[in-house]
Amino acid sequence: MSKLTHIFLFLLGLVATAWALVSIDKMPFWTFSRQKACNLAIGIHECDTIFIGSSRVQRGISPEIFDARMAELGQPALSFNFGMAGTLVHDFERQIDWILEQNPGKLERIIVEAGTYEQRIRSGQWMRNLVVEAHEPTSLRSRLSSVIAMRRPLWEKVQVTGYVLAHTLTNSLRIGQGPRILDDWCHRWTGRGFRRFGILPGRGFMPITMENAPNDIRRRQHQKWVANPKWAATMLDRKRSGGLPAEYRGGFDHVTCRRQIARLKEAGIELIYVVMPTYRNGFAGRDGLDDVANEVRIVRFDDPDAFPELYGFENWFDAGHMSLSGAELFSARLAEALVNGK
Amino acid sequence: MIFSEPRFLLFFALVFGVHWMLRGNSGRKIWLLTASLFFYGSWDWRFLGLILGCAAVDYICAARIRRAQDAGASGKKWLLLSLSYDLGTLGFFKYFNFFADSGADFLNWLGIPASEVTLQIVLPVGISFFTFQAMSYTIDVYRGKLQPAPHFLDFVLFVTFFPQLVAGPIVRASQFLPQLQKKNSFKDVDVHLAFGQFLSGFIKKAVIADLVAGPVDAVFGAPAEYTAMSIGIAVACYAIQIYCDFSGYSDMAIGTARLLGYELTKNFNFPYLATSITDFWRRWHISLSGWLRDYLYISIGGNRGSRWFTHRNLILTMLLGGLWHGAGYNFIVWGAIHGGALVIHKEWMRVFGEGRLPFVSRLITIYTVLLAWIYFRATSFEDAWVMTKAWVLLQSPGDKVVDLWSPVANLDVVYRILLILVPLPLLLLHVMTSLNVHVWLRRVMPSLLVTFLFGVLSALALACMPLEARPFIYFQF
Repeated sequence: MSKLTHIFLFLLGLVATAWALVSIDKMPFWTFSRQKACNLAIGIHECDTIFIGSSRVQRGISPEIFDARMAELGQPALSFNFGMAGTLVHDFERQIDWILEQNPGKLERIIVEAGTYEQRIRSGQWMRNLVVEAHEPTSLRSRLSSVIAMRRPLWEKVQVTGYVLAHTLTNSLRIGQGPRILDDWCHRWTGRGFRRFGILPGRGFMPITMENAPNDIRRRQHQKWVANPKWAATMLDRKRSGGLPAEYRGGFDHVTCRRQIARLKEAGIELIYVVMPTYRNGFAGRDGLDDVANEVRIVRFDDPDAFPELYGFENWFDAGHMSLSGAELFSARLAEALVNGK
Repeated sequence: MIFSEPRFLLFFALVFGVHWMLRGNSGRKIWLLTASLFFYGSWDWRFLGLILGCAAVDYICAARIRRAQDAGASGKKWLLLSLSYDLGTLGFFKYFNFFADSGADFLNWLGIPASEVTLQIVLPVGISFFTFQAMSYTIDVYRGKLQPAPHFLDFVLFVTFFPQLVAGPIVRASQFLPQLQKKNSFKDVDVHLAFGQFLSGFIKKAVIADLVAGPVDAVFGAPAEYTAMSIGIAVACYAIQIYCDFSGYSDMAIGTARLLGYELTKNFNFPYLATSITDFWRRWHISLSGWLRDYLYISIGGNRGSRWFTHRNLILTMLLGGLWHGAGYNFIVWGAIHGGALVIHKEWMRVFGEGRLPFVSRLITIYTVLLAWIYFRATSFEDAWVMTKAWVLLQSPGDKVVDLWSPVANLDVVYRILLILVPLPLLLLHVMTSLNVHVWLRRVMPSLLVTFLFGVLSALALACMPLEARPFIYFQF
């Protein structure tokens, strides 16, 4: 009994301190996304539209072009691109949570990228800041159900489960995040708060170029892309003829999706899913989108025949990311799709 | 898998739980051996054969030595076989390329053309530690100071015991093997003491050592660009880093072993407070200095001869001690500086006696130790020489000033100031643990409250550690 009491009290001290850290942690963004989140926090009470997604959104939607086109179409908007490279659908949860915590009075819509639901181990991302910060305990259940649903061998599922649990536990205890929390807390105390980083140009839009590509892999992919226009054409042909590959079928997380819809509806905010244009021919869970088509608005740009101008070779940096010209074109098309109700 | 990684904490929680749930001593030993092999195999499973081979050869040789001695022979050939195997293994994995390169360079210098024969050899982690541990066993059996281990299981667990396997302390068989004979009871484990020691080691390594690593890496990477002041700061930071890194590991090893009911050798005793270089070696890496004294210095004659003979033995011991750390001339120079300083100190004591000017003596000691660290850490002789000139003559090779904040460059000024204050309570914790403050704490507050405070401190320490833990410096040795 005494041993158990000691273990209990030790864990109590550990968990209580971690809980205290979590409760004073009002800016749970750690990497490059901290500056972006601070920028959004400053202007969030004026925003009516926020985009959330992976690098495809971060690099592919210009709020300035989007707003200008919306104004031309008679529906003025003020938007912010909250896309973050390297994130997956479940990672978007904490962004939505954080946005709602800020009480954004004028926010009308959140446009979320319809992306992959899989929790597959991200290569070279073990215990990296971005992955840890995304694994909030609130998304644990959804992540685990996606692991069960994914079409992979059992051993891989076991590995991915360990990966998810380890990252969630690390984040729940705020392991390694003390300096960041202290830094944020000191800035709130001194009154500098969200303004300490300065304002980024482009309202969160970060177009990708050779100069600002995040790493050499991206640069090499761009060089490969530029050198192989025929390869791009082949990819489009495969996309038109192949449909959704078997390994991408299933895995759509209805529970998470419906919870998101309900929560935002309750807050008076419309949730819109956008299927981003891409040369690749699928993502896990895409087929499940049809199941919720009556409950949520979905705008799709994934058809090269319906949007041929978006698939112009020159509008792409590589097979997954639009170039600056592509992003500007797409931002305008997205505004048109929203206004025209497509 | 290193002690400051979250996955080690999970691994240890499992080992600890199962260990104390098992009733029999043999079952516990088998479990600890399995865990130790898993721990070692997590680096590179291919080297499991190497460590098991080392254990098997030394176990057989020690048994043969005893049998030969019982029959009236000396058993020397078995000792030589054991030493040859251990030193041969160590020499091949650690020193082959160094000596092959040096030999080729020497022949080329003599005008005899020779091409370098460099093999792609991966250094097995902890090889210097486990071979030294195994050697001490056969030498002690040969010297009649120790009975051979009764069972191979005991001996292989002594060699592979995971808390001290990869970076010491270098445990003596005479200290560890008797502990395996008796069944431990959890009631005898002072959990507060053991956990406090682990926690203070964890804080030293994961928080302090990794924090000061930034300026050290920057300056030692390109010393010619920095001012003398920056070089001085970097050398001081390195002294803190290597102390917190290595003594932190030792504390965690000792704490981990204690939680499992075993005692390991104390390895550090506030070395930077040493009053002389001789005193420093009684406080720094105590298990290695003891090993070198008992198995090398005494074996080559020790102080059983003339003054100069003793000095020669001292310098030779320190040169080999330097080489033990790594296959590089910089380690030999590091050993030479310490050997030279020990000789000078001996002569000083002979002429002036002991205990004069303790404050000055402390300053000279720390100055010499820090000078030697330059050669220990520098990546080339050119860099070490540039830093030595800056350290000794205060010559600035460049005009760049070290950025002390590089480890937290993405954070801001307020935090930077707090950062300086953060290690202070943590250092205080280390001192408190060393002074057995837990005993005092338990006297003034309920034991359960102490446990709760450990939980709070653990959460704070975890929050302060960097996620991407650096490997321990001594793992490369």
